[in-house]
Amino acid sequence: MDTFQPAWWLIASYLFLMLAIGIWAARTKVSKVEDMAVAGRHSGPWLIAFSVAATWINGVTLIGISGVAKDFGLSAYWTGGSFVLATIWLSYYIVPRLRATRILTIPQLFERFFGPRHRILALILILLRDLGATAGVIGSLAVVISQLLKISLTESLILMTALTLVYVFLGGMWAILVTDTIQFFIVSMGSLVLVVFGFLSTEDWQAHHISHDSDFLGILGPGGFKQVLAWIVIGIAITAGYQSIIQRGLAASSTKAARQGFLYGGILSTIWYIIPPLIGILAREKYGPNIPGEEVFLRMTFGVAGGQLASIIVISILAASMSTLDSTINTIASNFTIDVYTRFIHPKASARAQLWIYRTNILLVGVLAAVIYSVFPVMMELFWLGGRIMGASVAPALVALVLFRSVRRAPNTVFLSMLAGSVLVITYQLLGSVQNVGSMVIEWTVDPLLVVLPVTVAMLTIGTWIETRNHTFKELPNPR
Amino acid sequence: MSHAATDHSEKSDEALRYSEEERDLMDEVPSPSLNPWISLALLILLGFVYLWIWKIILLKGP
Repeated sequence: MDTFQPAWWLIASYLFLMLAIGIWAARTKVSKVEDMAVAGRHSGPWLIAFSVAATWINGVTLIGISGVAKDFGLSAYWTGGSFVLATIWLSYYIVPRLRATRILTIPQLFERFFGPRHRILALILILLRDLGATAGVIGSLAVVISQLLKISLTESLILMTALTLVYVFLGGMWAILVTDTIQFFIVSMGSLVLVVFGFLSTEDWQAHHISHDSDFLGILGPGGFKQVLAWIVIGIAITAGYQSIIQRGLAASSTKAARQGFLYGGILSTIWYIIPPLIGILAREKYGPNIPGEEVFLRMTFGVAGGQLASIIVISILAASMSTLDSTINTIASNFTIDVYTRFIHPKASARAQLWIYRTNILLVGVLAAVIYSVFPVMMELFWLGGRIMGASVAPALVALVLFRSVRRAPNTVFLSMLAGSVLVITYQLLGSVQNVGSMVIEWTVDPLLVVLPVTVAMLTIGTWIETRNHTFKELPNPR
Repeated sequence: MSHAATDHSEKSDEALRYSEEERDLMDEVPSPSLNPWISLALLILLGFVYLWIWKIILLKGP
């Protein structure tokens, strides 16, 4: 890695392309907040599909999951696989229904049903997750770039945050959808190149001990059923309330486009997510089990690919991280603007003023996330700490709201369930039994979400029954 | 969704609360007849099958 000379023209071309798309979107597509938040609801299915896939594929998944797979083998697939499989599920049961409500943000939906206090609570809980995810992705990007350019982590954080903010600031969701599509192909090519070269450089696979280690390559892996179950539940719960992803569906030009976009994007990313575990397994094979998790991906990049190919893989890390970072920054900016500014501070603001407040919020979110990573640099856990809070509170409430009529008439139950779920999971994460704190993940004796989610679901079920037992429901017309 | 429900983005935000009738309009969007929880379980099962295929590939050698 020390002798690596990046192909600067390639990296510069990529960054210039992103900037050009931002300028194009700003000049031709963006005139109001709705254009920034959900691309004016004019997106077709394939833009949504590639954008959904690109958002799920990021620096944390490349660097983090390959690091986890070094210890957990093939089963590390579940640290991301459950998210993308849940995305396919959302395409049929949740996203088309949410798109039909014409909301722009998830907290907005809670107010439509129950009022402002539900909106504020949902907003806080969603921000906890999205800010954590944004900080985690900025961190992964900064770590790679600081090592590549031999600059400090702080300088790298500033540089990469600024580069991403430029095109999001200019083009909002439109720029994100188009850049994500390009980024998806770059990441797919780069990561595939690394796996192919990894296998080619591992001479005589059959002779290696890992190829005969059915436990390490087992579908439950060394962590066993409990660990895999925790990853699956976290994945489903976080995805169900992941606003950055759901907003892609809200950007669709029709219900059919939303469904198709999520379905195709979910399938593409389900197939792709095997790549980081393969990289981790290959790294263990080549460098042994003692290689630090956070070094797995970079060691493979520079040790296996080398030269111009390494530059392509470096660009794919840039693309992977920027495609997620742009989305989470944009979605938080939409919350700050729509759920805070135009709702509570200045409801009568002109469309132009709202647009510029939105853009200012994009800058603010980028800086905030960089600061969070600086003070709490546990890369993958940043995804999950806030994710568990959201996954035990807003996510089950949102799914229940969309699927069950009775929950839509139970405001107190929904509020108390979200509040209790979040407080319990925060308390457990502070006081719960931790087995091991690694650079990639914290290993829990029992994952906090596995403990708290059943409590939230039970509260929603029993509370709704109590609150609506005297309500008479009208019969609905058959939608078919 | 009826026009009454889809018209909301034009109004100021705080005025927007669903009436009793509007609360169930999202149910008018067609969903698959398969129970959502069974379909979720089947998808996870599909993930295990996908992983099992990779296990076989890796054990035999790519």
